[in-house]
Amino acid sequence: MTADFAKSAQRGRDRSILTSPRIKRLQLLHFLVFDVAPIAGVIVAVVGWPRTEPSAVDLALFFALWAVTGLGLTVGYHRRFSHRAFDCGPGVDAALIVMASMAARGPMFSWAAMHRRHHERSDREGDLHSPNLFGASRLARLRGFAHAHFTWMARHPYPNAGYYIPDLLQQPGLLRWNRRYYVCVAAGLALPALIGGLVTQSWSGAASAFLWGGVIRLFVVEHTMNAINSLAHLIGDRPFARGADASRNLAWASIATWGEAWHNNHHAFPWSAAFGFGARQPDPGLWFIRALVRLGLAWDVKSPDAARIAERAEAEGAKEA
Amino acid sequence: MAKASAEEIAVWARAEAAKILQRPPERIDLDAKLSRLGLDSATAVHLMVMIEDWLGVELDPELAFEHPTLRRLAEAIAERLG
Ligand SMILES: [Zn+2]
Ligand SMILES: [Zn+2]
Repeated sequence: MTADFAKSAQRGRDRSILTSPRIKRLQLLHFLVFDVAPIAGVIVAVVGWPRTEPSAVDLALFFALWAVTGLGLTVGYHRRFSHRAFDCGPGVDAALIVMASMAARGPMFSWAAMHRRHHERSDREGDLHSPNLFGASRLARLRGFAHAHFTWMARHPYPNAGYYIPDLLQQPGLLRWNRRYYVCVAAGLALPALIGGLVTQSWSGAASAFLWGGVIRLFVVEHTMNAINSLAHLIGDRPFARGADASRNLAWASIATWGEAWHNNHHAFPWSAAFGFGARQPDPGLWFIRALVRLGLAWDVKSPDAARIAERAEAEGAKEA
Repeated sequence: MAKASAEEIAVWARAEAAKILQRPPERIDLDAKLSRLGLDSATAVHLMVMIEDWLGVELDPELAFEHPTLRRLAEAIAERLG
């Protein structure tokens, strides 16, 4: 497939992405249903308070599905498929795709292709969700934040899978689960409703569990993960400042993002399964990978050793961001 | 290669989709939605680029989204080619 692109690159236009000024109906629909509609769920919960107060079952479902989808995204979509930071068998691959798909952040192939483009173009032209391409004024930075955090999803071009993820396209097992994206999304919404209804033996219990374990959980996962596109390219520490990207570490967000918030580390060592370096940088995604290794389900976990990290930080850290 | 019938384009696109989907071409329904076949947006874009390269023309990328089955896509492309 790579050879095909070498050939096509000789012709005029950029073959890595299809840019189209017209918004595709599918994309807009996905945005409205999975990014805008969950806001209504939050409003319902606030307006209906205290009747909408979550029960213990609702909270358990909320946190369990937050963990399942959050770990699916960071460990599966991000570290495994986009960066090949560790290896595992087809069963774990399938499980990771299902887990992440339930977050409704798009099918894995599209996610990985867009993400590899993000690393290729970080904070330069072509980056699909950089907050730093709108200008330096306060208003421009605000617009950049809104774009990187939310609205880019309603109007971005689509990267070419043949260009960005030829390695993933060659694995039939991945496609099989990638294509079940919408089934997984639906399951992620139906499951809490079903469990909530069964446990409480009531329709109101099902509705409440759907609200907290389904809709509000979607909202929370989306905004914590989108903070990596927006905040983690705007504010925070830059121990590795040499890269062309504007990535930052947001220590305070590390747990809520399953380790994603060590984003400057990640841009400095994109191939590393570890995003948090050392015991003082909590990285639940890495803990999950280590658990998989202990169970014999994952292997070949790549990460830089302490000396190499220290050397890079020493060389780059002095430069002010 | 800039002249091809809708039928030829459909057959070629099906063979290409079969490569992406790793399935025999005869098991790919020309009238099924691309998303039903298992192509997401990124792989549909990949297919469009392959068709462009084969025909040696630039096509409006919107085509794959406006005509979301292989048969309708092929017809739309054949029409553009004149
Ligand atoms: Zn980034
Ligand atoms: Zn990454």
